[in-house]
Amino acid sequence: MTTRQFVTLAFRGARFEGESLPVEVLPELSAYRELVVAVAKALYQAQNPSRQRLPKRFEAGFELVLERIDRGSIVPVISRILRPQGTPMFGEQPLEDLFDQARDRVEHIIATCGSDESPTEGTTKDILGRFITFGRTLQPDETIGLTSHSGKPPTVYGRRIRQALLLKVQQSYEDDVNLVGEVRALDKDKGYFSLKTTDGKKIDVRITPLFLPSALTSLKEEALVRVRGNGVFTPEGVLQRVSLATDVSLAEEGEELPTRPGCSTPIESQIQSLRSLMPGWYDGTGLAYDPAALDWLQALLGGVVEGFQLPIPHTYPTPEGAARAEWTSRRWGVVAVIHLAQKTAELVAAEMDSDVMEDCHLEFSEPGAEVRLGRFVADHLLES
Amino acid sequence: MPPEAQLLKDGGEMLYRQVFPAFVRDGRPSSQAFCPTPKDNHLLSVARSALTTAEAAHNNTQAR
Repeated sequence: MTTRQFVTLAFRGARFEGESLPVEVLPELSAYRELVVAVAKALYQAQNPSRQRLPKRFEAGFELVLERIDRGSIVPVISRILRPQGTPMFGEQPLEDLFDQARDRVEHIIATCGSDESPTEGTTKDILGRFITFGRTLQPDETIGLTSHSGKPPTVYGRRIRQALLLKVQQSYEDDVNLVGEVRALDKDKGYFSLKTTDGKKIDVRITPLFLPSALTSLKEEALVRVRGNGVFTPEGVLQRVSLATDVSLAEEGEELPTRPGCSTPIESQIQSLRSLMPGWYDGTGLAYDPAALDWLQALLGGVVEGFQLPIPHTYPTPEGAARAEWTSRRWGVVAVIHLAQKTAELVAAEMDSDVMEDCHLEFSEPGAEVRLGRFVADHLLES
Repeated sequence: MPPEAQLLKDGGEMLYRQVFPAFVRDGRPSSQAFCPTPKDNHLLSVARSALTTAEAAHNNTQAR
């Protein structure tokens, strides 16, 4: 069997620091192949507009194998099985060229995501939508570096790029969820329950009859359950619902703690404590908070925490009526002073072991300010 | 440095800072608790462990 190296996928992140590839991420390899095939089909159709159908054995001619796994993190090397010379190809376009083009197009789409350069010449919504399966198993701090040409730096792909690509073609996006909570209401006829998560949110979960017993146990005995499945998120990354649970089982001991790092008090509870402050709370001078402004603050912090998978910030009042959200990592301390009346924020990141400080001013009346807030915090915390 | 100020000689000496309860969340004080304000002429008020105890410093603050 003759093969030729097609691509390397370098998995980076804490899970990949060992010498083995976790089996949970194996679906990424087949998802990558499906993505390349979908792009190749689109390229063929663009290049052959008069053809109503794809050539026979189009997809069968593209066979990928896991050649080996290199070290230096975990780097699966994917090779392509080459057909014997002389085997007829479809059309005038050599098969290898078309799939090679598709591979390069995938990397170009990823590389230009978020830049001013348009990736979408010949890139249909259908192609962008195919990113729904690729990268799905990645954790927030994990990436895949795609390299198809030696000497070229890898094209880095992760959850944020996947999310941005999917939002180009739809108002919400889907991702795997893994939640712990308690079932608070259950509708057997409609096949869904309401889950109160350990960080205080209520999420509707659609289930099959298979999981009714576990859900009923949680409802009757107030027992915690772990729910895995397909979640639907807003563009800001807020989980709206679980469109289908793939597992509902009793939670393990110790899982009653919030799964998200950072402050152990949920954002909602922290904001609630700000609501209770009376005028003059700080040595007779502190201002009370406007309830509507605190609703806005809660949505803002909840959105960026979910959207960028941030730790829960420690949130404090200020005597002047602003709110301070503070995050700490090993290397950086990040503070967002959010002025509720003006809907502005001052962001400061201070490096712990140096005098380096970085700052940023945000006006939430401007589009994209929420994303800039999340990215500022994430860029510093995830850099640590 | 003001003329009445003096450098601490003992590097191990602790400084006690009284923090307003609303500035503590889950046992973590807000960084604003360590920011001097105009009310204090931009000077941070602390008590020296060489001169008092943490409890006495707290009681002193409460009594004011």
